[in-house]
Amino acid sequence: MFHTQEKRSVLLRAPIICTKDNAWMGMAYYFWYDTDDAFFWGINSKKATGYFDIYSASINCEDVLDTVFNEEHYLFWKKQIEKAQTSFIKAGNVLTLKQLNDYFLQRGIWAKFGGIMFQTLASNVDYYIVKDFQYKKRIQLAVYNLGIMRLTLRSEIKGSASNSLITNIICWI
Amino acid sequence: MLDLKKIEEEIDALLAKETKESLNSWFLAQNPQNINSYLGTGEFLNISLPSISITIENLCKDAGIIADSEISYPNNTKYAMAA
Repeated sequence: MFHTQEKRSVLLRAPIICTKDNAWMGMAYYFWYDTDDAFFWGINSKKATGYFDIYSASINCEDVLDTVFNEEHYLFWKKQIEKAQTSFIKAGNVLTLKQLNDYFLQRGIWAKFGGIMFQTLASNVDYYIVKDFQYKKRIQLAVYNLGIMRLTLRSEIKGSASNSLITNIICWI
Repeated sequence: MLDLKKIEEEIDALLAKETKESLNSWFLAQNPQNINSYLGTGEFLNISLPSISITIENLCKDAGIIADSEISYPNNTKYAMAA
């Protein structure tokens, strides 16, 4: 999976945790399933230094809650999110998805998972096989426990010449 | 191997233990910009206030600024005129 970050003067030895308010799955290390999304994210959202790097990581998904491909996991996740939201609504608050996931994280429930794999909607027009029809899933993995990935910096590959913003594709293997 | 049944039981126990106060407390702690974090979680009180009628001439007279006889109204009306 792929972690996109602004290019820095040194290579990252580990991913950077995302704490933004719009982070769907709460405070976590975010990875893209597909390189297309990793590139798209770099071009559109990681422009602070003018260039971006993509880090490729080897992740053990055995303890990942896979809401994308595993039906049982998806139904479980949906049910728990709805239960929690219902409780908060009864108390007079409506939580965002990030807040709901933060709630489970802070209460120690999501810590039982190495991470959660989930699907969002892409704004990448390349995902439209016809106008407004997204034929490809845009999949992300929110990693809560870095122990599920290996972080040995193994290799560095020069980026694609077709996109001048990309400087490196780096592998944690 | 994930034991989803066991995790769901833990979630159910967790939510059953929560109260309106504990959920509100958690929510407010997550939202430092939320207006409620400054005001606190309170209740609305129905406060009955006597209705009052305010007119310019009454205000002026009460404040001793001008006597009623000194107020002149265009076209002899007491309607407010646009500037």
